[in-house]
Amino acid sequence: MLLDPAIRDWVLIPIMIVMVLVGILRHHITMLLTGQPKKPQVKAIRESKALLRGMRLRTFGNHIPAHAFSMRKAILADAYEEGRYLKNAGANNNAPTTPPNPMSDPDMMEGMMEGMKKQLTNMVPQMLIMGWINFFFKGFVVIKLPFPLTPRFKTMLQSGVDTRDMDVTWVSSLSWYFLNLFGLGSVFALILGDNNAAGVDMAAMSSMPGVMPGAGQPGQQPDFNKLFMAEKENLLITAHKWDLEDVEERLLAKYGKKQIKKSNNKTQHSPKKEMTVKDKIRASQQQKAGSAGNKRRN
Amino acid sequence: MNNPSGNPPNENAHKYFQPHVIHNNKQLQFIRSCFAAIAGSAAGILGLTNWSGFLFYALSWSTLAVLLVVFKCYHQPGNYFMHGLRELVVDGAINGLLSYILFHTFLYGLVHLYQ
Repeated sequence: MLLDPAIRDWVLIPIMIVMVLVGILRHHITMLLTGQPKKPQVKAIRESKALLRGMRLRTFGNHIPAHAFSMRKAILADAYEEGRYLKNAGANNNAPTTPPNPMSDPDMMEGMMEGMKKQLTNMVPQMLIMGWINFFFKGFVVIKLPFPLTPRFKTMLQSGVDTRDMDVTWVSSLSWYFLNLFGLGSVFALILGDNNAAGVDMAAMSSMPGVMPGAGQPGQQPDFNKLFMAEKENLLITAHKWDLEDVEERLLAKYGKKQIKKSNNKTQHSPKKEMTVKDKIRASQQQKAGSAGNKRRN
Repeated sequence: MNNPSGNPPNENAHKYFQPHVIHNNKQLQFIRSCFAAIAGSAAGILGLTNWSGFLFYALSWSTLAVLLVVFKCYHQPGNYFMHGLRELVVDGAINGLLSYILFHTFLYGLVHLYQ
């Protein structure tokens, strides 16, 4: 079956051109609306970095000597207790344990507004163009899909045409609109560069129906007060052993130059005698045990 | 943090130089966009339908992947992309398919259906 070339000239190509142009327009409008990317707030960053600092101290504490570690531990534990790093300081001790209300926290409010603006700019042009196509280009087939589909799609794809016998592959202009919607993403990437606001966003489309105004926060906003308390507890119970504690002894013992004095005087080593490997290991272990015992006694 | 592509974040991510990663991904996206347009147009003009259409897509996609790995990645896609071969071959396949279908349908209609 052949189609009238007038359809091609007045339907197929115009719909494609209109969609490309509307996409470009939407991209530029989104750029204008969102403006500069928001600068993150100092206090919010400080909160999360303070928590990270506590975790880092726990993980790598053995790299610093004991006095430095205990000083840092004391300072951090105090700071967590008093809530000095918190973003909304002073509201903690008697606050109810509900997570912060999205309406009251100004930063989250702005985040939500941005998301809603984006969804709006995506949906409004789609609705408009769909309405335009349904109004003007109804009642005829536009193109043949090169791949087969099940008959169930007939009502959806051949919306205006009511014949029963035509293949599902002959489709109306609305389905040409959908084809364009999904396929023009790469064309926009070519024209508009990378970060374009014009292509259809798979994640946004799939999450759209439920999310709109109500669900506000996609994830629970972490309650930093509780996190700080937990971190403080973890810090207080962290053991510390300096990695470099008796490194000189260990080094000498490793190279067999150390004179080993044992408490029971069973085996006497002359100062420069070569020890076997087993003796060296035993010697270094006893050295470490001896020094650890000394520390405990002190 | 949401990961839009669904890949688990790579633990070696800190070992990659971020601007280069971004640049490589941009180039890959550009290549794929052009590829979808060209392959779709070729399939449409050739008049491939049904399964041969998709087969042509799979074939040309694999050819593109092989060419990229051999000539651009010097057989080491792990050096250029964070998730290595999988990112090169699998990740963009569905997006590429959609664009391919668009161009395939368009050219097929232009060449075979209209006088």
